[in-house]
Amino acid sequence: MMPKPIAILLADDHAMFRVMLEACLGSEPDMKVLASVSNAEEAVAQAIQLSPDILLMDIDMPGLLCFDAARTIGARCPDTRIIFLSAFFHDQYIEQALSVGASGYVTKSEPPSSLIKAVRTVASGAAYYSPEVASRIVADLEGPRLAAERHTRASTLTAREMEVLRYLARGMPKQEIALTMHLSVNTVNRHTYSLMHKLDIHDRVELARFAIREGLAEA
Amino acid sequence: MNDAGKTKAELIAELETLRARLRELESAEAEHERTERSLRESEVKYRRIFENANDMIYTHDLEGNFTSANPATVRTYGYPMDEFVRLDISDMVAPEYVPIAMENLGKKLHGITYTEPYELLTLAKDGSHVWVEVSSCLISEAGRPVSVQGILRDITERKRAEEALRRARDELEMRVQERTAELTAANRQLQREIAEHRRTEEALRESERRYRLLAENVTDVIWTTDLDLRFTYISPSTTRLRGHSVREAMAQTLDEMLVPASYKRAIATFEELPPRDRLSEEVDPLQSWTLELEVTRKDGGTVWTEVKTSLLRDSDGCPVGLLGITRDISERKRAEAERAELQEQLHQAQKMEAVGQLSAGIAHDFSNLLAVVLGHADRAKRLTPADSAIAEVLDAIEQAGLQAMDVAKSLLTFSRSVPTARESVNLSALVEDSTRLLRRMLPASIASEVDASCEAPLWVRADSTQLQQVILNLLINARDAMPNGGRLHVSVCQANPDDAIDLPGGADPAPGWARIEVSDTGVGMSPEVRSRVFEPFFTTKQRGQGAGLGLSIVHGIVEDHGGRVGVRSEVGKGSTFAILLPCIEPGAKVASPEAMPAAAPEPTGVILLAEGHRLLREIMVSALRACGYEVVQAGDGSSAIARYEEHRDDVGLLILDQDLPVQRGQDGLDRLRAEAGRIPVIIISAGADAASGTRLGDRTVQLYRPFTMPELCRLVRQVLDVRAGQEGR
Repeated sequence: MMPKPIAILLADDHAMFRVMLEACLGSEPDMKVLASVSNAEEAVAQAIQLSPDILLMDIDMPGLLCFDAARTIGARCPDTRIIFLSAFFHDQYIEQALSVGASGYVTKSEPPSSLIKAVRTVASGAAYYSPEVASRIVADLEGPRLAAERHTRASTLTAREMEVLRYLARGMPKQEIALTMHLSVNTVNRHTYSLMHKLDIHDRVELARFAIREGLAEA
Repeated sequence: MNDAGKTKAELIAELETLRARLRELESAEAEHERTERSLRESEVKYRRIFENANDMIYTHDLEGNFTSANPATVRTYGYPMDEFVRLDISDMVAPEYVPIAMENLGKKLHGITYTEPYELLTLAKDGSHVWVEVSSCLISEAGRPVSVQGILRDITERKRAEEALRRARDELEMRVQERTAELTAANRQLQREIAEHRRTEEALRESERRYRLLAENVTDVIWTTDLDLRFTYISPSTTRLRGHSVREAMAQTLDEMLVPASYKRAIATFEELPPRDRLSEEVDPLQSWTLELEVTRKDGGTVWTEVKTSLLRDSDGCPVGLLGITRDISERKRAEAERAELQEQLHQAQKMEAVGQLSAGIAHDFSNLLAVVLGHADRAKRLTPADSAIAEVLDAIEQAGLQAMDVAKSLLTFSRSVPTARESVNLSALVEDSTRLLRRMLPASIASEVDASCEAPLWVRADSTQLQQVILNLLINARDAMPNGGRLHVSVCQANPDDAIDLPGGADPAPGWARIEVSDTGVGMSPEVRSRVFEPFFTTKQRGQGAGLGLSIVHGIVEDHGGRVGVRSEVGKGSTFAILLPCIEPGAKVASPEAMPAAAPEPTGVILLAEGHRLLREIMVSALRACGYEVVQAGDGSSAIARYEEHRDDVGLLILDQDLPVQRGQDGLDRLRAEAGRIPVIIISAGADAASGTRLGDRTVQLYRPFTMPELCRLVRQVLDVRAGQEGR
């Protein structure tokens, strides 16, 4: 008796990629693509309806965040394993993937054979994370997490440090910051040193960029 | 009584009495005559005295009415006697002295018989003043005061003399006083003038002191020149500003004092002034000129100053030269430059950020498309016989697709969208290794030199693979910049923040930076090229010789490592790329991925993994399978027992979560644990201070959370090795 093929649901907004993937996976004898959708909402609906073994879902799809979709699917379809697809590795994405319980993370730059392997691995009950990522995963009390976990670094700053950071990001010299904040230059230096230490950023341009990225300063 | 009746005897007795009486009378008359004579003689004597006395003698009754006066009195006062005796004291005595006269009279009437002579001003008949000294006494008769007798001594002359003397004295006194007053006034005036002078002098001194202090102690340099711009005064602060002594500075001309550009600017300003003869009229006294001038220093350096100049005028308001105050604004200039530099860097950083985001977007879409191409090529290959011509074409497509994928990955590296594995890296060693690789690629025409001989190894937290790529990209860039040969120099050293290199950001020496420099003697870059050198796809190389991503990748990696990269270059003089990276303590621990240990060389049997957390279990399974182990898994106690029963004869290791959910079959799980007597067991439990690997029993060890997958695999290998060793014995 032929074993039951791995039932797969595809979710990717990129039609050409979706078609290619559908063709690749569909040509594998132990796999069956049940459906392919172009957004996360459809993925949730189809997952609930079809209960696939594997959901291959692109992270960068428009609409509902795929991680929210993954949570919903995890709750509604506990037997469906999710593999995320992304153009790149992103620590932020990996963390999210781990936190929603995704069994795998594959980049699109990997050859189709890697993707096929990932599907089989996950279907067999193991997770599929690339060796570089797997080696950084830590088994903690609450489950797996990334070793170099990214925290919201700005949240570690005190109000004063945040203020100094905003001024630094505007390109104000420390003397001017001291005058503006009614502090001594030494104190401003101390705050600067402290916030640089906390953020692990050691030059002012990078600080400015950080501030812009975090919405603490205008670009 | 009648005599007839008297006896003779009686008559004789009476006669005898009469006779006696007569004798008494005769005796008395003689006495009387003697007395009278004596009195007359006495009266004459006294009258002569009275009438000849030069002093005035008078009497007045107790009411003050004159009763007698001697001729001297009459003569002195000019009154005839009969008229005089009708006068009283008040007629004679000057009104202002009447109280004194009456007071003395009163004293006498009250029994004070003697009073000291006193002086009175009396009036003669003609109204003239007669000063007299009065000596008077009370005359009593029969014990009763009846009159006052007095002697007046005319002291008018004395009084006049006294008066004259007094007047003379008074006059003298007055004159003295007047003179004194004049002198006093003069003295006061003098004192006032002296005081004024003193005040003026003090004010001047103070003013002078203030100005001197001001001129000599202010940080600013105060100076004056004549109209030919020759210095007539320079405050000592010039030494602090420029290093020259005042004497040296005074001897300098303006063009020696200023750098050429500033001299030109200063002269241009003064040339706009009207001719000397019209200066006074045409230049507003309050007009001043402020210039920012770069001044030379004795040590050969320069300092930026702000010079405020106005016309120096004499007391008549005529211009005689220039007065200037020179202020050191190097700090301000430095701050402005820093701000401008920072703004520029920020602008550059923003541009690179934007380019990075754009690159990431392009790479994303590019990767998607390439994935499609590669996917289809892969599928086509599988559908095509390997020996067909189409298979070759598909191979070529696949190769091109993979190369294109590498370009996309490079773009991602530039946009810092790839995960990195940071670890402690000995930078000196890394640079040496990287350059060793390149040496083989360098043509003989390029001489290379590597200076990585830092005093102590410099450690950075970095992805060593990425850093190697940085070094290689820079070395390749340097090589390509020297097509005709040259010299390549690579150095690693402790960074000096003041080093002259166009590095972005205010270098903060703490906690220390490492500096890598790659210099070539190649073609160099123009400022335009230099400003775009890190932009992706910007290249000066010929088409096909480079994608223009090498330096972009360098930029992306260095920035991602919290470092900075800069370049100094001139056309024809080569280029120097400098990289600053923050140092860490030597050997500081950083989160770095560990390599998965290799699987045990011999068959180990099946590993039964019983872990409650699904994803964690799946990841552990994946890690163990990646190490070559065969793994069966269970999510709770009952399934663990079931799996164990299924693989009972093959299970070589149990990995049990201590908190494995147990719904039923607790006994079975206990039995499973008891199997530790036969096979090794790894118990996963909550974190503790003890190190993982703690041996509980003969074949049971602890694995504490949190643990990494390599740690898990290493422990599994360790446990299985021990078991293999025991079985081997």
